[in-house]
Amino acid sequence: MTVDAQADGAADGPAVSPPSAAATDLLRAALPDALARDDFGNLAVLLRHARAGCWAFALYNYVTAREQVAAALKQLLAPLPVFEWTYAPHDPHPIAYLNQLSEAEKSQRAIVFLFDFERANADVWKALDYNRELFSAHPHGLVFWFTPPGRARVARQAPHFWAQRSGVFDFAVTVPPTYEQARPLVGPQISLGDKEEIQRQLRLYLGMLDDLAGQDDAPPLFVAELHDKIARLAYYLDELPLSRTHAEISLQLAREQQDMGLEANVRKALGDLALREADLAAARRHYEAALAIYPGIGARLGEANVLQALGDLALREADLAAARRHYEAALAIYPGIGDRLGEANVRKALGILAIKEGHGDEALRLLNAALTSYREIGERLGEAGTYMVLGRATDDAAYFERALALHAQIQSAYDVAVDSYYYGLSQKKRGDKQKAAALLIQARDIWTQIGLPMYAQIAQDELNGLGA
Amino acid sequence: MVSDATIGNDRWGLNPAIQPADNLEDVIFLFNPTQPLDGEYLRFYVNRGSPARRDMLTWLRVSDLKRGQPIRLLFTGHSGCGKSTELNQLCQELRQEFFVVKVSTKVIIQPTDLMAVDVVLLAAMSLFKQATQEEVIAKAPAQRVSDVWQGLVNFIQDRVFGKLPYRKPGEGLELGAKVSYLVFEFEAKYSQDAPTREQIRQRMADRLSEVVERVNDLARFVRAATGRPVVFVFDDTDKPDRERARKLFFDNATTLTSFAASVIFTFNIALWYDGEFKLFRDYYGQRILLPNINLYAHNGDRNEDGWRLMERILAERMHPMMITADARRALIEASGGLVRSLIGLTQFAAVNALGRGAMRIETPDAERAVAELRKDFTAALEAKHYAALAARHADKQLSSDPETQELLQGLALLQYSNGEVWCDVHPVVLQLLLERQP
Repeated sequence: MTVDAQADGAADGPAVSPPSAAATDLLRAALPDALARDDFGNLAVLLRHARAGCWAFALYNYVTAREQVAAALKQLLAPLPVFEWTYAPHDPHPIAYLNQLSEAEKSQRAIVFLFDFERANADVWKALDYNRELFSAHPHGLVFWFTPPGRARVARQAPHFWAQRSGVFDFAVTVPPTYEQARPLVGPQISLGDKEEIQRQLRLYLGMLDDLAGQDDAPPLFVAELHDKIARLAYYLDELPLSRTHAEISLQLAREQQDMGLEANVRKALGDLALREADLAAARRHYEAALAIYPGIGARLGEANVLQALGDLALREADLAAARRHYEAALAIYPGIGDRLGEANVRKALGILAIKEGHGDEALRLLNAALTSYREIGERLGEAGTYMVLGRATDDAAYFERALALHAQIQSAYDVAVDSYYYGLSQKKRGDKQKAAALLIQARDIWTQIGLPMYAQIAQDELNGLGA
Repeated sequence: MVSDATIGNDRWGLNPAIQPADNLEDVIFLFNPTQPLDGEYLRFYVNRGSPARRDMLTWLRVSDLKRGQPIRLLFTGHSGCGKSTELNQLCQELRQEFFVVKVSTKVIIQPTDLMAVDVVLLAAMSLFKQATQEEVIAKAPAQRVSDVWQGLVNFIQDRVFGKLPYRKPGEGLELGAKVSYLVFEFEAKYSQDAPTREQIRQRMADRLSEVVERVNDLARFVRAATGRPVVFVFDDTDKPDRERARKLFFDNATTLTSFAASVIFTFNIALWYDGEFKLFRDYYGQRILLPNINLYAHNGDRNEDGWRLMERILAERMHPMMITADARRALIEASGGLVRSLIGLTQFAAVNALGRGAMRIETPDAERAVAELRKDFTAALEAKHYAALAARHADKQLSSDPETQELLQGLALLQYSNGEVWCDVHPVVLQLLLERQP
């Protein structure tokens, strides 16, 4: 084989040099069962040398082991970039994920891990078959992580896709991971840095619950906290039914364990869910229950957060006096505990309140103060949300565009829909019916996709008003 | 007449620098089960001696090239039998005599959503684009070319887009470039903007005869200007599932066969066995089947020609020193005569060999690849399947019953042909079957 042929097959991308034998030996010695076998090295060999792209199946039976293998593979394959896609009901097709990569990412060699197909319905599995030639058009090494039942399912439901795999690599282990092995993988707090990281935590914690099922050594409080983390991560990924299921389990376990702090946190999470679903009465019930607990256990941050949530609720109910009372109570707490994010959030909320009260100058002062704080602490979600509010306050398209761009970058579908909706209303006011219709359609479709039909209907009503 | 390509010659202008793999890294690259041979990699093409490609060439030459009577061909075969590579080779061979328009619907429309209106529109746009890109213009009177291009610009703008929003080409562009621009705009809108696609579909569903007329006019113009008849080659119309494919090919047979140009459609083999097919097959003229390669005859005797062919397929892509004779035998046996399976197993065996630090594929590497295939079948097959497989192994009879079709789709059962068409159990599954029999 000549150099020419290699160059033809290799898409542009970082050069990949194999790890030294010593490095590999060291890695193996330190790794548990799933990593010590040949399959680990062989999968790396395939991904490194299938230069025109390929797909392979990696088998696992415990998520804890899967995440260890995935993390070790990333290290071994560096500097090849590794992307991760996780199945979600409103993001069910991996080909859509590959298509939304940047042009550079699409053309460069990279590895893509694809997780959690077992949570998908039959249509998603069938789509693997129909999209097989679209997968083969990508120069990426695609690793589909399947359980043993998933292996059978892909062969039955996507036989053509299955027939084009480059290999099956087995990381199933005979002994389930113990609590002691699982515990270090769980962080004290959830991390909301970016979507892939949120998805990683969600699939790890969901899988960890399965791994630990039936094991006596897992403390109930650890399990309750896992459910709470899953509920909050699912909420940020707009998987609301999943979030509710785990929040309710966590609440029950917290009560059984008499952990007041966890109970209050779960109550707050359930309130957020209810508010997202426009069930204002339920939101109030949960928030007030949380507020009754926090001061008694000295949880000042929790108390401030729930006060702000009650302010948001009052604002939704157009009770401006109550909203101001709650926001100001929250603002009295945040500086004292050094929480700059909470403080910025309240200032933004007060800015919105000022708009409603007709105090435009005051609103702009508060929103700009919030914006400055968000930028200083690198909080892009807050920054994007403030642009959206500024857009609403001024009808300046530039603010909406910045909000949309940032929310899209963060991949927050719900917020992109909110931006599109208010931007659409603003364009309608300005008489650009075509642009208004396009934005409202976008908002409607996203809300429909993420399971919020009541908001989708509101967008549709506005579209009907446009005659679109 | 153009003869079959032989390995090593440069008849097709192939890059002589591309040579068979002489290291395991390149074996992994060149044996890629997701990529049919195309372009310069057709250097590795092996003429399998099947009449399929030869028959298609003959029909096109005799009927269309000589008599001016376009034909429609349905080209079918099981997944992985090598259809795409055969079609790519065929297109390569046709280019001197025909104006080959390869239509790829999959990059615009998901197979699950493919409709007859899409097939007609995408064929039309592919022809428009190719006609403006190839040197048709150099071989026709300038005024005539200008009129044709202007007609296409008007057609796309007024009839296809109508009042829908789209980006108009700049006034300064020459007419041919305007056509290309509008085709690009159409493809972008049609693939990415579902509401626009729906509106265009609705508009054009009642105007398909108008689109066909445009295609036919242009096909006649291209033929007159270049001396080459237009032939459309659809390489992914076999991808929709059986129900959608039935709608496409049976419910729209008149539409799909209305081009005054030859057409090759790839065709879902499951429809071949459909009882309703006999009502529609005459619309499509010829039906061409690419069978798997027979490693054994119907009576179980070893078919040396099939083995030699599979060995050649390996030898064209990798130096013989890269694999031991035993490993080669094991891989060919386990492939069941399915070309893609042989390619995939060889790649996996090369991964195993490189992973253990070897310089070539040896028996344990091949055995490990085959063992994983065996595990796949073990996982996929249910108890009920083994009884059906045992029956087919005994009688070798193909039928349209759903269970047989399911086993064929899953490759547990393989179809062969040597004059008569028959089937047998995949050799790896046969081992499982024998183990389960009392």
